[in-house]
Order: sequence, then structure tokens, then C-alpha cells
Amino acid sequence: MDIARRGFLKGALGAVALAAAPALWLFARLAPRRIIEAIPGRRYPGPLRRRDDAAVRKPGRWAG
Amino acid sequence: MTVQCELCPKACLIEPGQSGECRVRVNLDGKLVAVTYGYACSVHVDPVEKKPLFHFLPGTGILSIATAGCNLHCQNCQNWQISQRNPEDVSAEAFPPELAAEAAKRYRCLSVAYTYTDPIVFYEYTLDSCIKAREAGLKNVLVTAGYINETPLRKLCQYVDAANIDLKAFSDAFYRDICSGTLAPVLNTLAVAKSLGVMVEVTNLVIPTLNDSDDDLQKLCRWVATNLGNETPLHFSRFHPDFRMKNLPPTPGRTLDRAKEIAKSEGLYYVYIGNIIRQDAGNTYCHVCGRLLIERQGYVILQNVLENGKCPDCKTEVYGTWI
Repeated sequence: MDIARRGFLKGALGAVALAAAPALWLFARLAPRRIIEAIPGRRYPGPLRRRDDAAVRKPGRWAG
Repeated sequence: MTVQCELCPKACLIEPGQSGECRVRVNLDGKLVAVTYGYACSVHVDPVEKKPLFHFLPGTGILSIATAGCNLHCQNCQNWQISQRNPEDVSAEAFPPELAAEAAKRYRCLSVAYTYTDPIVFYEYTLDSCIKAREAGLKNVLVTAGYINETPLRKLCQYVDAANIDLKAFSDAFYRDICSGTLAPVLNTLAVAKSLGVMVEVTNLVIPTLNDSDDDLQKLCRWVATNLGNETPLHFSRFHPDFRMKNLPPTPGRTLDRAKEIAKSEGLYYVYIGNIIRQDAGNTYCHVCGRLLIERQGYVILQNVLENGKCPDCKTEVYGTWI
């Protein structure tokens, strides 16, 4: 009887694992990747300008 | 694939091709990309007092850098033309981290500030620039609203010498309604930064009817004194109508005077009033003997009698980083 119960549990657990594996795989694929640090962009998306040395030497117009 | 940015408490879920709320952290092919890295929309040599920092290398110039974007959306933002716009609409110049350190040296600055918008959203650029600046013997300053998660904050603080952190109000409702943020992460940033040895100064922009009651001010001052220490400099700054908050008048001078009185009564040693011309607004006094230590007019130092960071009369040490 003990062996039969063990066999049954093994089978049941195996079946659950088989059923859960694709679900876990799918969840891992679909769940968002959690990221703290970004990688640097290759190019700036906006307009680029040249440095104005005289402007740099003056205090900025912005607060802070 | 969707990514979740865990830099700040907003934890934006970002679909491919989209950006987070800050507008500058973009999901490109499942990778989180900082599109403003190395591209400064503003580079200037400011007096350090403009940050405002009154207890950090007074009278020196500080190379000040910003990129577009911000993770808060304050209705009263004074720099909204660069903070509340997409990088596509803000011009910038290539200014990689190594150049920031080199430029600071060339312009005879002792420190570099990451400021104007919020250095949190250009975190990686700030971090790498801080490392380069440290290697060049320079100090680093954050001017920030402090809306960042603790893990990245702790990493950044290893390279930061001083910070002016906004405490916009001592009210979660204010943060939610006016700034699209929350209060708790800001308080945590203040406490963590201070505990990690960053020289912290606090700024509170006093806005008529929104955060200017005695109760609001008292709670804020009490929290600063209790959690950061009485020595923490506190700046009350005058509000000017701007951006989406043009319906309120500028803060009356008497309100700022009242705020200062409340801060003093809560035991804070160094309290300043900014954005307004006011007698004594920016002077530093010895909190023990009352001696005038640093006299300021606007951003100009008229006299500084500190001796090795101490009062020349009673030898009391004054909190800060001094030359």
C-alpha cells in the first residue's frame, strides 16, 4: 500500500511539473524584465548643437 | 518585451519603443536605454550658492550639467522647458563623462553639479561623470528632488559629496496632486544620503495656500531636525508663478520670514531664505555665539571669517565642506 501511495504521489507530482513547466516558461518570457541601470544610447534623439564656450562660462538661466 | 525600470519608485512598465514617465529611459528591443547619456542640454559654470549650497566650498564655481527629462511633473516647475519636454525637442551637446571632469578643471571649478532637471533620470551619466570627476580630484553635487529607489541611491552616494534635496512639502497629498509623486521615497533619500556621509542641504519652495501653513512648515522642520539633525541647512525659497501654476501669487516675504522663525523654533541652526532680496536672508551665523560667519548678498560672498570650518570666536564647528 505504501509503495502504491508513493507511486501515485510521484506520478501526480510529475504530471503537475509537466503541466507547470510551460506555464512557468511562458510567465518568465512574458513577465517584464526588471532593470535598474540603463545602457547608454547610441545617438541623441534630438537636435545637436555645438558647445558655446562663452555661454558655459556664464551662470545658467535655469534654477538650481 | 516589456521592461520595468526600477530606478525610481514609479517603476514604469515600458513597452518596446516607449519611454518611462521621465521621457528619457526608453525600451529599445527589450533593453532599457538612457537616450540622453553623454548629451547635456545645459552646461554652465554657476556660483555654488545658486544650487543653493551655502555650506559647501563657498564662493567657488561649480560646473553644472543637465539633460532633458524628469521623473516628477511639478505644476510649478521653473525649468519645465527642459524638464517636461521630450529629448527630441531639446537641443543638446555631446558632453561625455570624461569631458565633464576635464571641462570642470579647465573652468577652474572645484566641483561638478548634476542639476537643473533631475540627475535621477540621467542616473548612468551622473554616475559615470561622478567617477571621472572623483578621479580628477573634483567633488560631486546632486541637486535633486530625491525621487529614487534606495539601491541605486546607495551606489550613487559613494561618489557624491554634497546634495541639495528638495523637500517640496511635508504632505503626501501635495506630492500626489502637485508633483505626481509621493512623499515617503523623498524622506528616505534624505535620510539615506545623510547617513552615507553626503553633506545634505534641504530646499523647500513655499507656495501660497499649498504648503505655507504653520502646521505644514512645523511638521517639515521638525522632521528635518529630528531625522537629519539640527545642523542641516534649510532653504526656504520663494515661489514665482510658472508653468501650470500661474494662478497663485509669488510668496510674500512675510511668509518666508515666518517659515524661518518656525524653523529656528524647531531648533534648526542654519535657515536661509532664497529667490528674494531680504535682509540677512543668506547669512550664516554661529549657532552658539551668534557671530556672523559668512555674509552673502545674493550669490556673492561679502565676507567669510570661518577658520578651518570653525567660528573664530567660540571655535564651534560649522556643518559643511569648507576650503
